[in-house]
Amino acid sequence: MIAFCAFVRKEIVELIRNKRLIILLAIFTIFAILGPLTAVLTPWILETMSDLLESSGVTVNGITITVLDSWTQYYKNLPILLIVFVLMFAGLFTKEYARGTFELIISKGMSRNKIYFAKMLTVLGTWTICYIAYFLISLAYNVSLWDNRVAQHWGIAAFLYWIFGVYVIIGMVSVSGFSASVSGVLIGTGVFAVMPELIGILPKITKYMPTQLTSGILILTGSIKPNDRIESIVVTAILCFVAGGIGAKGFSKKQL
Amino acid sequence: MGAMIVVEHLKKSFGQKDVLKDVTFSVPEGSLMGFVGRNGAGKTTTMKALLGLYKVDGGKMFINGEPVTYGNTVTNRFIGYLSDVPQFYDFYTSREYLYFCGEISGMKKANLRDRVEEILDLVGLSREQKRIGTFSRGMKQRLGIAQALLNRPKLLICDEPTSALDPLGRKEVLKLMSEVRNETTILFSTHILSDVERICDRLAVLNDGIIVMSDTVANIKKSRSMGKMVVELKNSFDIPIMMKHYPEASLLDESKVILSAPGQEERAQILSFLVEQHLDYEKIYVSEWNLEDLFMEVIAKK
Repeated sequence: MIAFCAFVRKEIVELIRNKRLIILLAIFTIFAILGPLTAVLTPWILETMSDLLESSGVTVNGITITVLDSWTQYYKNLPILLIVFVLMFAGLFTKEYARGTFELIISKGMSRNKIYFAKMLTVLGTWTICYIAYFLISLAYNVSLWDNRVAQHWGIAAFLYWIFGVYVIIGMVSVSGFSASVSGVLIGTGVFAVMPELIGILPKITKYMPTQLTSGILILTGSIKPNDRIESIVVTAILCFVAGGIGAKGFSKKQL
Repeated sequence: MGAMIVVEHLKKSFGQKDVLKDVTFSVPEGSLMGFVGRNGAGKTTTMKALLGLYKVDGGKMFINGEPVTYGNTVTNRFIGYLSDVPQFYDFYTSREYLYFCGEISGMKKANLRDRVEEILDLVGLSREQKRIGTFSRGMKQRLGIAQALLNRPKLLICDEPTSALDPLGRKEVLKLMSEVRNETTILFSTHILSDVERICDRLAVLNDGIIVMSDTVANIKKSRSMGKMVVELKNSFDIPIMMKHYPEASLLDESKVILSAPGQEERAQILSFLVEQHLDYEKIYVSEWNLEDLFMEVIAKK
């Protein structure tokens, strides 16, 4: 356990000293402000452009912005943030493979599983911190600018997207256990994240797919209830365990 | 005294290339063994196999009596490893890195602080406060030795630790290795043969995936000082004539032939042969024991 904690600490020190954590927090914060700001500015933008729009035959009047518009922006931004996050961590293992830094660590008798899960824990922790910051800042603006009571189960809806993020990140770590190149990690993660969406085209299995966790706005508007996502949560959890395990197995057998 | 390393019939291929064909050797506890071979002979592959970093195709390896397994290699708890260009986490200082190494090696915190300071003193980095990313190659090599020795390993594996260093850095590293040889068994790969002559008590020569010689330096010296005569021919096309008459001879390079000549009589016979065959020569001399010649000889025999 001491070795595991030491490796987690090393990962955290690295995140701080190479400024990756602060950069990610800055990006998540900017996007958290951008969501409500876009919602606030939408009427003004449309009013400014009304003459232009009228000449095109579009009449703009009586636009009312609610907290749901801001939450919609919140969910629209999340795929971008998740992609940025994956891009920032795609070299998590590959950099160490390329530089040979794992050799000295493993030659000290540290188990590969500990390295793998320490890295996974640190990335998931970073995702959680960034996500909480993004959520709390958005929530603070939404509560202060609009009547947030209109949005139903906003906490659960946000939590479900966090789970989807965990799913994608575990996929990325798992692929990193095998792939020696950043491009391989990105392609593998992309396939892992998008595959459920493709499989979910079949109507009978749609509700089981992890991508269902991203439709938070449907929960906010009351179109669906949080309970409707239980199947998806269970499948996502199973996939996370399976992918995590396969990645650990791959890393334990990887030639360094 | 038991064997710290036992390697039996080790085989390893990369694609179609058989790097290790049948490697067998052992390193007794407490010895400092030089592991030599030309570039690409398979020294690093053997060492990485011993560290469980490469999956081997056949054979067995034991460290301190325990079998070496690929992947999660528990025998690594006995080993300190130093590569030719060790790679560290650049964002750490040397002190922080050694603490990290101590923790992942399972050292007790109470001992770790003192040991880190002791080992930093030994390698001359105790006053260094900068991050590793700013270190010179020599400083990194010294830090490499420090991390390898930190938990007082039973076995130190050094893969060409001096090859990337200038003469001063080389001297420092060899001095450090000499200083710790009483505490640990050392397997030291290199292609700088004078380094082996300077500090090693045993020698193994790896060539073309096979150990062609493995013994104590004393025994090798004894057997080799029986007398060798080196004939440096003027014309390389005379070499086949020499080799035909002396099939046991070996080539040192394209013009030098080494012949066994333990006594005056054998030496006289060689001289007579040269005269009879009208073979022009540049030099003829009785060879003193020299590791470089020996290396060339055993490599050439293959």
